[in-house]
Amino acid sequence: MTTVENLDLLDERRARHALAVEGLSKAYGEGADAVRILEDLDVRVDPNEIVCIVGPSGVGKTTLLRCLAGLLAPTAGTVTFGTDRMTGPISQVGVVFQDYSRSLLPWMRTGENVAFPLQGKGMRRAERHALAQQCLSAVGLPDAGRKYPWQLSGGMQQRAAIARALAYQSEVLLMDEPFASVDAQTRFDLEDLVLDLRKRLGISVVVVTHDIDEAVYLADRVVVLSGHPATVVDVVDVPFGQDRDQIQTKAEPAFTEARARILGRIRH
Amino acid sequence: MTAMLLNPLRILLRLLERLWLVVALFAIWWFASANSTSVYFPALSRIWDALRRGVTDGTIRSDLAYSLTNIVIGILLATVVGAAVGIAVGELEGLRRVLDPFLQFARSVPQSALIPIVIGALGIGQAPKIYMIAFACVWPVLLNAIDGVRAIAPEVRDMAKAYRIPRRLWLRRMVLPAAMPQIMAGIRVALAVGVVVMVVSEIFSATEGIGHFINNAGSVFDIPSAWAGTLIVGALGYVLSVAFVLVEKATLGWYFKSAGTASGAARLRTRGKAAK
Amino acid sequence: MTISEKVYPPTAAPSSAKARRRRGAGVRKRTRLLLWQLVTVAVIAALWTLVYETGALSREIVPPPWDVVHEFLVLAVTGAFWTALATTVSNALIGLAVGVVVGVPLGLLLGISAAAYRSAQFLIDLCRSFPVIALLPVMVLVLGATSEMETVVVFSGVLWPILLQTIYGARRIDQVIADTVRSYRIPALLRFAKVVLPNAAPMAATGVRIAASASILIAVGVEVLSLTPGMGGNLARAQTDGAPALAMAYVVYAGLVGLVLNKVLWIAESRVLSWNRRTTEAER
Repeated sequence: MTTVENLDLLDERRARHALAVEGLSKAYGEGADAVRILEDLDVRVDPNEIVCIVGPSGVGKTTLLRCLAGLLAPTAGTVTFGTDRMTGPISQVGVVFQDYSRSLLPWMRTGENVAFPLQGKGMRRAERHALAQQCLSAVGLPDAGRKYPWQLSGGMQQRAAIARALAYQSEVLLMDEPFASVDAQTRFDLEDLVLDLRKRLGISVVVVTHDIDEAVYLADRVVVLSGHPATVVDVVDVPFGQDRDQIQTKAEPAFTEARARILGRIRH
Repeated sequence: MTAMLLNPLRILLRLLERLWLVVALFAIWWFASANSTSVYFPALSRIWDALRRGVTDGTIRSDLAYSLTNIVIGILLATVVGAAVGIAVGELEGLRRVLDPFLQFARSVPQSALIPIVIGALGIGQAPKIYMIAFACVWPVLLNAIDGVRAIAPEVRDMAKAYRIPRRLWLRRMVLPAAMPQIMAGIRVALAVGVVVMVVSEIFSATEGIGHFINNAGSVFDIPSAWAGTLIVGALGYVLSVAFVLVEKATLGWYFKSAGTASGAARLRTRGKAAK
Repeated sequence: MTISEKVYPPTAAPSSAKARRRRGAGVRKRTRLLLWQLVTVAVIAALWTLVYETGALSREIVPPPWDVVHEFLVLAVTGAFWTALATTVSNALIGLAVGVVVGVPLGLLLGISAAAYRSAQFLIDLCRSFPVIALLPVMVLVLGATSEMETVVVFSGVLWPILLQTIYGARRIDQVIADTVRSYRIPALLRFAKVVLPNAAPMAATGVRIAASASILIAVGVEVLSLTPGMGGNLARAQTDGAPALAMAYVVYAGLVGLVLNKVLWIAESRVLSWNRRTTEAER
């Protein structure tokens, strides 16, 4: 389910740059009316790292992710990819949204959906579809190309959305609560897929999630946001390396410690 | 085994269930009017004779061809213009807000009211009729196209922005298909409006066309022919709407099939009914 | 781009000063919108004048805008005009009322009984795609160019949208609700009154609104063709008398009547069916 094949074309995905925000602030409105969401955040994602962002509901995790994606301009501070400042979306950073059923276009087959952003980059038809097929195989959907998205289950649709981000030559995958809408079993499979992709392809991943267990399981570092406006209240290092397992890893004492520490931060 | 044998029977029964009422009504009409001496309500058999006559001597056929040409060209024109302008206005929110009251007014104008004016000015030729049909039909398509574009989920726009989809691709392969269900609903309404305008323009002033046929028959007191023409118009309206449903199924196959799934059903709910 | 900001609007507890400032911003936005709309009117008037002056389109379709405005204002103070307006509107509304009285109960019946609906479906499809106005020559022969004839034609036109929408509303009970009702074995009459009726009401109301616009259109159409007394008749006569500006003024009035009627019904619907506001908005 989570094995990765055909790494040749996907070798370009190997992450070489760090994605970072420095002194990031975001507010809506102007002057005295302004609503400050984020205040002076420093978050860094090094190559081949998985960073999870957690925090209470409504704290601004999604806002932070959008700034990282270049979809939202910060009020203050910078967003940098490598050494360049980001002023808009770039192809090396791909986004996987929570509501996959709306972001996959229902009038196109899954394979076309995955290949579609490449059409915008001017890639030729044969190349696009070959790359799309590779990415679909990479996420465990080798036969889904001819099917329409609404013929696939929720978990498969989310995999397809991940495949699309991969195909777009993303070194960094930004995921906004990607597994919130699927059932628990599928969620475990998808989490393992993310770990697998990170290990085999060398990409970096940022996952916004409200599920602390998921965050500790996936991350190398967990960034905890809290407060109004939101600030980084803690950064927890997770020492499990790149090989993890749903049963073993979650049974380790370090897992429980990290979990308790994060939960404590959020609830106070 | 028995299930397989019953299947054609079941299909036949289902067909009968849907047809019996119409067939029965026609039969009642036929027999109830058989001995009618009323001038205005002739026997159905006489109407049928008039119909056959009209078809065989070619009058109804040529009139029908004329009317059909007008409405098909008119609708096509209205679809292309309405969809294009509607998408443009739908994408430009500021423009849409400014133009909204004007568009609402234009759609409320009874198109039949414009017919005397247009015919009085441009004459009774074929082109003015096509323009009138197109003008009347463009409003439902345009307004529905605007609604369709506005209803595009923000997630779709986000995705396009995140993947930096270029403008032309955005319009051609994202906006147009996304708005298509609404546009098709608009075309359905436009069809009904178009048929009305077609008939009225031909009754009002024409030398050809099925509306003219009816009017003419009425004025020479050939009542059976007038009724026959009326029935033909009804059949025309029905055939056009059946044709439309087939076209809709072909182009929106993905839309209807996706409605079978949970995520698709949510999409279907936001399609809404086209206001006439 | 501000798409994201629309999706995640700011939520802050408004103090009175902040609220006042926000209201101020709203007023400023509306005045700006109004200004742009006045500009559009000016642009239209300018183009119209240009077309008239150059004679690009026949002077008969394009009377000078100031003439139209003049006739428009004159009509407003002419008693005969208001009588004609009243005639047209009353014919339309009577036809509409009869359509509601016949269409809604029939629609509910057909919506509840799947078998009845299957039998009637073909007939309804035939009749709804029939352009009512084609009946006109025959109708004129039978009933003459009278208000009664007009009402009958209006009725036969508005029946279908009302019927169809009511059937649709009565049929589309949410499966979960249907199952709940069945498992509690709610008796038929109570089920009708408390589940079917309120569920069908919003769709039926939409049908009435659609039918209302159609009623004006049909009424005017009938009058234009058969010169039955009313706005449409006056319009057609104005055209044949060679007074295109007057005819245009009538057209504008006809449009306004339709618009006003639609708005009135829309408000009435949202008052009576306020609980359905949320769904109605989405379905619009």
